[in-house]
Amino acid sequence: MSSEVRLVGVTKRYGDHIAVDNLSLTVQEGEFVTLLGASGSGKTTCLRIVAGFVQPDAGHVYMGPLDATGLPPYHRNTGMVFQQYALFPHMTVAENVLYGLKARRVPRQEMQERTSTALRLVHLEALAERYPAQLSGGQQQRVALARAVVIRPSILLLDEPLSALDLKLRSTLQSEIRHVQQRLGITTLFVTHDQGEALGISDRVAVMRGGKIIQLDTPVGLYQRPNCRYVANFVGMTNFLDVVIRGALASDNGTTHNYAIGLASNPTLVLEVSGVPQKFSEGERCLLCVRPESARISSEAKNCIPATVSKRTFSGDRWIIECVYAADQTIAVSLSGPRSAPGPGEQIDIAWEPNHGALLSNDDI
Amino acid sequence: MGAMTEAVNDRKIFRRVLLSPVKRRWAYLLLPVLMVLLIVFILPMINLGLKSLHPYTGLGSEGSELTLSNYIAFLSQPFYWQLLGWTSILGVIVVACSLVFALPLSYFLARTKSRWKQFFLLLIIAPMLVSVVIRNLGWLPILGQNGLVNWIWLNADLGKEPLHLLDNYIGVVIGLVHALLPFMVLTLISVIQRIPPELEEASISLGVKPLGTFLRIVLPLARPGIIAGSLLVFTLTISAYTTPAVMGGGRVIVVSTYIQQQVSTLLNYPNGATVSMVLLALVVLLSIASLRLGKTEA
Repeated sequence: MSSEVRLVGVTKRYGDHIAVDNLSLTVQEGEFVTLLGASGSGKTTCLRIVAGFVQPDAGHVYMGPLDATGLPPYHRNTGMVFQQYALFPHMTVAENVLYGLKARRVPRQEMQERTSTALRLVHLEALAERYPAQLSGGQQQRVALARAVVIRPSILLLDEPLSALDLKLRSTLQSEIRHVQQRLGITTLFVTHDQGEALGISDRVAVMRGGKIIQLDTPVGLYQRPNCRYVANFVGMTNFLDVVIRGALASDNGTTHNYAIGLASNPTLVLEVSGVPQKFSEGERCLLCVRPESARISSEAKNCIPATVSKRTFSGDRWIIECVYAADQTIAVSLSGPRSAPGPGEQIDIAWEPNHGALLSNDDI
Repeated sequence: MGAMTEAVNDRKIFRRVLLSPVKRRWAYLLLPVLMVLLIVFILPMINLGLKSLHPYTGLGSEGSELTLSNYIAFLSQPFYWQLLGWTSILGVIVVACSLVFALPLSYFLARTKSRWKQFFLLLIIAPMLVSVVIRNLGWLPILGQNGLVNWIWLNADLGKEPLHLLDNYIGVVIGLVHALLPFMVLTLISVIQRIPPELEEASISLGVKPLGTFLRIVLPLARPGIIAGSLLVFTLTISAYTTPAVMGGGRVIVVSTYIQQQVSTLLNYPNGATVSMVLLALVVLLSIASLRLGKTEA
């Protein structure tokens, strides 16, 4: 029922503005891929091209072996979930879910069974005879999900479905969507601007900017090995340190490299970074990315720099300690768990492991 | 002692707010308008109402006693019921024709992002900008025996006989639909615009073609607008005078042309007044119904 979906060289222009720029992406059968980006990055346009509401100027959309590029949306067997739920207000919950099945001339008995199953899957079988106006936002979105999956689509498309809900509800619904998707094994394309959501729910995430995919990776890969400053900044908090390559070190395996680096601001301090996928040359200036939670306060580590605390912020589950280690160069450390945190003015040593840093060349910015 | 002064103070504040200088000034502004309405509209209506309560005693004269005989005659003679009936049927036909034209037009205008949208809107509203007499006279060279339509009809050999499109009900329907379409279109556009486009997209993504989506999603949700527009067009149709008079060539009798006949030609003021009052009552009832419907759906 579900199939692999491929975008090949898809381009869409609106006048002078390029919304999607020669984009290629393969969503494997049963995979959950998220398009993550700020507004204007082209992620929604991309989704609507797959849905068939937007015709690309170039490129193709394949659903399984079929070239769906010229097909109108009603011939594409896609299930879509909208940000504003888009439930039909003049129909009951059950009638909403039945709608797609009726259009496919499914026999009545089977329609009823599949509707009940779908509603049970989202825990709403008791509300089948209610009207959308009588449901809460979260319930409406679950009905929308049931309506989209009951037709056994080739691909499930979700357009920022959780943006209209409040925070607590968002995480509940997030796991429900993931659960339903995995249970039914439906190929899924999800669009969001919320990086926390993207990381928590996806098999792979495509970070988009200016109509292009900047990095396509698993959530862990994206977080730990951003390939440019934009991705490093967009996904979570990062520290950026100006460093210079001192020399290559012996590597543990053939695919990654280890380097000795020095801080641009303090050449005497030598640091190590390991597991770098690219090659860098000696003397090259680049950026070292260290996540605040990878850093800790300790003087016993391979990488250790002295700094002075400038500010600390408490947010319940952790402290964020901002420090200055050179003339207007700051580094932030995240300390979680119940503990005391150093106050402003204190001199501390900040340390992190060599394999917890990512190197970005200066032109990846 | 303290409680009493407080109560007195409250009353003073109340009086001051209610009859504050600002409010009083606004009230004075309304007076000229009310005066005009009184003289031009309300007084003549009362006069007309009074005339309907006097018996007809000959050309241009009426008896001095008050009587309900005019109304009794109206209710008991089948002619008047037929008159109301024919006029109402005309109303229904005009509403139906307007809907047939207005629904696709309004849908297109509500959903289009084309630069021509304003232009098309202007084209549709254009009839309202022209005097009603000129507007109807403009149909004569098109619908007449030697008019444009018959020219095409006869020259393209679509028929042997010329079509009779004027001086009959067909002409009246054409004239009224042309004149009242803007009302229907504007009502429908505002209703359709309030239907979120995502609903149609959801329907299409679930496999229903655009026509099916229009019938199953847009129409049901536009129903309040359709009813409101229909009531409006119906009310305007049954009270229309100039269009049935011109396009009907004097041969089409609806309530308004009958009233004109009675008052101007036969000088039978009581009868004309009676039928006018009945028509007025009907229009007021329909307007109240329309307003009520508008409130409940909102």
